[in-house]
Amino acid sequence: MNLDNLIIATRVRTGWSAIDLGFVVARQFWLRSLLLYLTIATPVFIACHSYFDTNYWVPYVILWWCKPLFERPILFMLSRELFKQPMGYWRTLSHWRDWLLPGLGWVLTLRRISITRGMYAPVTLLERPSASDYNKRTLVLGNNFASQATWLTVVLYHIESFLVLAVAVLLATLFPNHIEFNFAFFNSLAEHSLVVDYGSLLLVAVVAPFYTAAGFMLYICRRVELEGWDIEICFRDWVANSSSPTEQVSGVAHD
Amino acid sequence: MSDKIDTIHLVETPEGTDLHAEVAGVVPRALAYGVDFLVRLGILFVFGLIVSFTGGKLGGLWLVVFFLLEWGYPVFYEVYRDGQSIGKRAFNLRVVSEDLTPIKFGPSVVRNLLRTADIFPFLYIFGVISMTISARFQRLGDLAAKSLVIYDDNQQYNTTALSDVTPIAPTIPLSEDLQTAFINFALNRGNLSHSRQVEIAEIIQSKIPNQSNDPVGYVRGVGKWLLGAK
Repeated sequence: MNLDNLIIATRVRTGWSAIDLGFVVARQFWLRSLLLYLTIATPVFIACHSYFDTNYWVPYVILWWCKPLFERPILFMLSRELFKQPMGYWRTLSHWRDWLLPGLGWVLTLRRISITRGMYAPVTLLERPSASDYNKRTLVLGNNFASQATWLTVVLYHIESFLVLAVAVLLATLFPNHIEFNFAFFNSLAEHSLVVDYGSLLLVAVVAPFYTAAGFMLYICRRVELEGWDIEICFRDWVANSSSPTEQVSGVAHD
Repeated sequence: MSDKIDTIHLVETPEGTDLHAEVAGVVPRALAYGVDFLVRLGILFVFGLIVSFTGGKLGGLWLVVFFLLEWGYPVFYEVYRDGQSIGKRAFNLRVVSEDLTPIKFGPSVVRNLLRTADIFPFLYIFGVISMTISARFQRLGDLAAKSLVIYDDNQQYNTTALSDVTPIAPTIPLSEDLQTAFINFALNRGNLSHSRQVEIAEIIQSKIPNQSNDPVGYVRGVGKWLLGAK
C-alpha cells in the first residue's frame, strides 16, 4: 500500500462528503463497474429464470439478495485502482479467486441483512478478519459514519426503485398508444416480459457502482482519519518537495 | 495535488485570492429535500385540519398557502436566510452562486421554477441523473441558474485535549494544507496510537528546528499555536 499513489485527495471528511467523493470515483470507473456487475449478475438471473419459470418474482428476490456478491468485483477493482494499480475488466475477472470466495458465506447470510453493508463490505473482502475481529472492526469504523452508511443504503435503494418507475413512466409518456400506465401495468410484469426483466437488471446495475464506490469511500475516509493518512501524505510531500531527491523518504506505508 | 479526485470547487477572484468550497452531492441533498418536504407537508396538513374544522370556507386560502409553500418557501430561504432552508440547515448545506457569492433573487427563482424539469419524468429522477453526471453535482435548475449547493464550513475545534501542550511558533511559513495537517495531528482526531503518532511526526524530523528529540511534542505544539494559543 503506497499512500503516495492514492488517486483521491485525503482530508478529514464528514460522512456525507465521503459519499460524495464515492460518487465522483464511481463516475470515473462507471462503465467498467457496470460491465463487471452485469457479467456476474446476468448468468445468475438467467439461471433463476429458467429454474423458477412459474414464479416471476423469485428471480428478483434472488437478484436482490445476491447484490453484495455482484458488487464484489467492482469493489476489488476499485481497491486496486485507488492506488493506481491498473485493474481493467479482463484483469479483474482473471483475479476471480481474490474476490469471489473470501467471506462469501458471511456476505450472503448474516452480513447481507446489515443496512450498513456498503461501508462494511470492504472489511470482509479486503481485511478478511475473523468473526470477532470483524465485530470490533466495524464498531471502530462505524462509530462516526454508521448513520451516513445507513442513509446511503436507504437513499440509493429509493433512487434505484424510482429509476425503474421513472423509466416506465417515461416510456408511457413517449408511447401512450403502446403502454398504459396503471395498476394493470404492474400485473403485466408477471407475464414474463424479457424487456421488463432485463431492463430492471440493467437499471439495478446502473446504480450499483455508485453504491459500491460510496460505501468504499466511507470505509477509506474513515481509515484516513483513523490512521492519519492525510497528515502522513502532507508531511511526506512537504519533506520531499523541499529536500534534494537523494534524501527523499521512501513512500511505502505500513498496512 | 490537483490531479487527485476531490469534491472541492475552486474560484479565483479578480483580486487573485482562491476561494474554495466543498460541493454537496445527491445523498445529503436528497435527504435535505426530504426534511423540507416533510415541513411543508406538516404545515399543509395542519392548515388542512383548520380548513375542515371551519367547514371548508377557507379552502381557497389553503390553495394559496399550497402555492406559496411550493414556490415561495425555497426562494424565501435561499434569498433571505442565507441559502439555507430548514432541511439544508439540518445537513449543513447552503445554496450559493457559482462564484460562491450569496444567491440572488433572480437565479433563486430560476433554479426553483426549473424543479419542474428536474422532477420529470417521476420523483426528481432527471435531477438525480443531472447531479450525478455533472462535475459539481448540479441539478438542471442549478445549471440554468449557475448555482451550487455547498457544505457550510463552520468547523469548530475542541481544544480541551491540548491543555498540557505548550504552543510553539513555527519558524517558517506553512501552507494551508500543512496547517490543517498540524492541527489535525495536534487534535488527534483519529485517535492515533502513540507509536503511529511518532511514526508520522518523525517524517518531518529534518524540518524541526534544533532537531528536537520529541517530534510528537513539537508537532502538537505547533498545532496548538496554529489554533490560536500564543
